[in-house]
Amino acid sequence: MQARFMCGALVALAGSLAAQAPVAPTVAPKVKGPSKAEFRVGGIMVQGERNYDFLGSIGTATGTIKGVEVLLRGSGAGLYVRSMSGEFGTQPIVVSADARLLLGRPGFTIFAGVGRRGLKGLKDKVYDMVQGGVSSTLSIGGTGLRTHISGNIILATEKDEPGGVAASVKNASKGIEGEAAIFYRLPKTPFFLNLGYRTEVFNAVSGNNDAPEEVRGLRLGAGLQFGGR
Amino acid sequence: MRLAGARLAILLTVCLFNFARPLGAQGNPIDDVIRLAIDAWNDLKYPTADSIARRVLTMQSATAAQRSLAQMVMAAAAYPEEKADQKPAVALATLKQLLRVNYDAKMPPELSWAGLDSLMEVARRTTFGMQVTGDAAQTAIGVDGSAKIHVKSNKQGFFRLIITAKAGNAVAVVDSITGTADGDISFKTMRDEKPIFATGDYNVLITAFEPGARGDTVTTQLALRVEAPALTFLTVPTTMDSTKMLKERTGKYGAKALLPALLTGGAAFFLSSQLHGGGGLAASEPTSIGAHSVGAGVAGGIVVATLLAGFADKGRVITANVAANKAAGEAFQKSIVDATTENRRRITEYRTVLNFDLGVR
Repeated sequence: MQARFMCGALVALAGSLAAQAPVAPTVAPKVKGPSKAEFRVGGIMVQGERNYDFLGSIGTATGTIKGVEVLLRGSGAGLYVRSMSGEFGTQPIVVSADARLLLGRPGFTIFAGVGRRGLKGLKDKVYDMVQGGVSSTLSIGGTGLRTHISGNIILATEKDEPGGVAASVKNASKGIEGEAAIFYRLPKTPFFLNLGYRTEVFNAVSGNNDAPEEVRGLRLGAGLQFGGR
Repeated sequence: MRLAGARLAILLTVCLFNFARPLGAQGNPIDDVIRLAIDAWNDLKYPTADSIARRVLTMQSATAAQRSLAQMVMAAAAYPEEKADQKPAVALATLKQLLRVNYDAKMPPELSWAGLDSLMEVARRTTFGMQVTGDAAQTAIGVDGSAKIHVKSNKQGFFRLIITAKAGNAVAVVDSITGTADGDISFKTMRDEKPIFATGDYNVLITAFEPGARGDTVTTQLALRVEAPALTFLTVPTTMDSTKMLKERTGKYGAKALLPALLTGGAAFFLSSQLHGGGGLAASEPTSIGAHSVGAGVAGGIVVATLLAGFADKGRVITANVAANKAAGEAFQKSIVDATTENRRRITEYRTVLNFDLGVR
């Protein structure tokens, strides 16, 4: 239900693309929209909390996720790679890395990817995951500000799950990740700043046990951006 | 005498007939008339020689050389060796008239004798004479192109040249030189980068002033035919057509920012308050952690920042249009340069052809 809501919002947001279409010139050349090639590399930090349900016991801890992300895209396709590591109090360290293939223009993009997610604690747990979702990035005129929304579904299996592939599929962990942010590129420089909110919910399945958790918080970022205005 | 009169009548008829024919088809009938006058002079028929020679002066088509020769026959007829027939005053006056416009004239040997030569020298000493020469066909090119007439006199003087159009008498050129007895009067054929002449016929009046209170004045007139095609210029563009300029920015984003602001801010709020994990974290469970308070602030910040950006937006620069306008501006500048260069070339290569009829009248 929640995922459907996010998808609907993204579709509606993409519809506003028509409103920012540039004025057609009286003669050639044709005006191009904000669909130029873009390369972005930057650091991200999520300042927030990790809530979990461990065998019926609800806990919460504040902490920080740090990571890097790289985006490379043209007008119709792109690649996004991200690596993060988060520490929340005495809880296990959450480590994840994923890569996504992007299809479509920035205004409305469908993406799919693979990744690995791990909990590093008393007993390490590693999950291989696939994911798919949609995103929308819109430029607010020529100000350098862009809004960004993305949402995706995660399916993951515990690495070395006893019982083989069948057990892995049967006991697949599920998750949803969502982000809403603004990116501001400083005038006449390749530097950008990022402010937003990120939530990731994940229900890790290990054997017969479920371990639901939610990691959410203020997302801050900065880095270099070339193109993509 | 009667025979000479009959021959003269026949020759004059021939002359008139020839004048009616094209110039190129003419023979030399005036020379024949002069020859007739000289023959009469040789036959000691001085009044007849004088009469025939005077008729040459009335012929419009007689050249300067023919006129000079006719005048010399008249002077010789007025001052022969036979004392009884000598009229020195008449001869001197005739020679002076001749030397005024052809001061370098020489008496042909067949008319010459010591007394006449002496009289010629007396006339030469006492007459202010001028001679006009030059290239009959001259071509002047460009703003500095010029034509020239050579003037020469037996005394230093002041020479003035006036060129007037035969049609309308408009003065085209006035020029002069002074303090010389031998020089060129040069005149340009363009003024202020425009042709002075139009194609047509002109009169060239050259006047020589003898210095001194009792100085003489001699005037010579030449015919001039000018070939000067109209000098036309390309129109140099002065203003660009602003209607062809492309818009260099998109329209202001303005209120259109409301939708992305609300959607992004709403999504942030949703992520912080509505998206929960399963199990005991689910929203329906009493153990749910609930909304994350930071989310509302972030959502509000996103909304405000997006709206502010939208209303502060001046439009996105349309790079292609900027380049197109720049190219249009450069093309406009180039069209100015091209037109100016072409007009400059037309000026510098403009040719005026002048054909002087140097037969002094």
